[in-house]
Amino acid sequence: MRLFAELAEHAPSAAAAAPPALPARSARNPTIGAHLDRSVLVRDRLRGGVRSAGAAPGRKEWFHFCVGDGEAELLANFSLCEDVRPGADRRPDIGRLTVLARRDSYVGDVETFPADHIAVRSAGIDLTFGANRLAYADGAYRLSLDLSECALSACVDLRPVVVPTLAPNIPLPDGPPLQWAIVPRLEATGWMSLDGREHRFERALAYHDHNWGHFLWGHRFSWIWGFCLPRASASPWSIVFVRLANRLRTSALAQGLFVWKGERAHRIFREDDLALEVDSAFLRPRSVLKVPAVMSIPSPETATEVPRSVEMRARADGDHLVVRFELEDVAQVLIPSETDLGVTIINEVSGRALVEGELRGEALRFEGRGMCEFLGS
Amino acid sequence: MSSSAAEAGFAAFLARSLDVLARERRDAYLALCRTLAPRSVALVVDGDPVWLEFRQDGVRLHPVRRRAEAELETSEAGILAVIDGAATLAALAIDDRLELRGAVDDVLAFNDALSLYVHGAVRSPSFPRLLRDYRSAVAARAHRARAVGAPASNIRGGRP
Repeated sequence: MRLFAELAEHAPSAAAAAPPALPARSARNPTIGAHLDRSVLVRDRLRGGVRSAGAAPGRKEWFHFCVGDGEAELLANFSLCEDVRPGADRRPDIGRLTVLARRDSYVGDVETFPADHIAVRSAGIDLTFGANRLAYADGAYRLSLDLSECALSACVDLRPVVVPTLAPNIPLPDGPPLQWAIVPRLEATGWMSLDGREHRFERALAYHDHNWGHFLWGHRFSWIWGFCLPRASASPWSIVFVRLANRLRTSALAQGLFVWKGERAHRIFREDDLALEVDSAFLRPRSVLKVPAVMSIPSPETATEVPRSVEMRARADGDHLVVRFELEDVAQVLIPSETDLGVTIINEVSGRALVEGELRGEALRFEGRGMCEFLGS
Repeated sequence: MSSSAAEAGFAAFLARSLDVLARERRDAYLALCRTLAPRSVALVVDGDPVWLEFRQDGVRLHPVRRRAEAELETSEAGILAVIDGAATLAALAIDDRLELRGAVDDVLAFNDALSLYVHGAVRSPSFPRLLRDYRSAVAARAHRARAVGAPASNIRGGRP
């Protein structure tokens, strides 16, 4: 198996599902072609399905979105998880919605929904968890969020401006590989309300990805993942990087740095093309939002293992690129491990980035914002 | 559930939650018991005390006073504030909304056991409903207390 096998850029299937109905939206962006629309519905469709006999337990699938405009940020993750708790034998999925919003500091929550509070359409992309919905129609994702235990709600339309990319077969040490669909750049318009204060996003740049696979939280792996979008929306570049490693992060399983220019994938650096340098000093926030809040009882620490900066250096075939993240603020998603009574910690970290290099004879340099994610224990 | 169960106090909630843990997350339940055995612990919530006697393989709740190596005193509002992330245990203690008394080893064992209780609770399918019922009961009691003009509870409790 080749790690991060060639990006799937095949023409979309003509069998793409029709988009689900949603309330009327603003006029469709004429630059979003039918090809892009069909690509989303083919590559980013909900995989779902029931685990077949003998298959690895722990089927998981999630849709992840990040929106930011320099003043505020919104992160939403709709996750379907096979219920692997003791006594559960092929129980239906449970839904887990993670929402983080940041103006001055992070606010948010994780809400869990039993099977009878979840509605999932098998065709296309349409998930409802209680009062929250993610659906794709008319060339845009719509996020409708209304948390029950946190004064946070939002309604945002996100229009892809880059063709979705598949990065299949990401190796995991304890099971089958993880699959990954990336829409690295979208334009987000809508609002979010935080403690009664509304913030409007107007064509703010956003990121989306979608993962599916079989693993258990607590398995022996970790990841560092991040994206960077330019401050200047006229800049055509979008950047994503990922590094899968063992639990202690001492040995990489796979790593990649993906570059898009305009609507298309432009360059990939893989494995030995890349060197990751992590600052030995840690980020020291005054406080850390932990969600769900109750998990701060067994995990009360405010010290994190998040570095102050991360730098990925890529060099291959005459091309070179340096992506440097200066990390600023962190929130922790605390997931009860499924292998023991431990905790899997996902550090969601916002920051600014500087990208500099030369690709195919073209110099590029831009400043941007993005998020990094550090998964570990 | 019956209205009496829905309005049951902290001791009843605790008893039911430990039953749920023993059934649905036996690993967390036994780890919790082994961490505190052979101690007894007193929990006093809004003035209502309950004593827990820990063995290696289980815990018994007693409504009558007995020796306790560790004693926790707080309010239902304090418990919900910690569950909801509105306050930490340390913040409650600093604000005199929680007291934890005992020898250092016993207090540390209590803290470890509390973590194991939460680890079990967040993995038990029945716990969300149990907690929802408890919240409703707390809200109903608070509403009644306001209606009769009772003072707000503190860790010394609303009852004598």
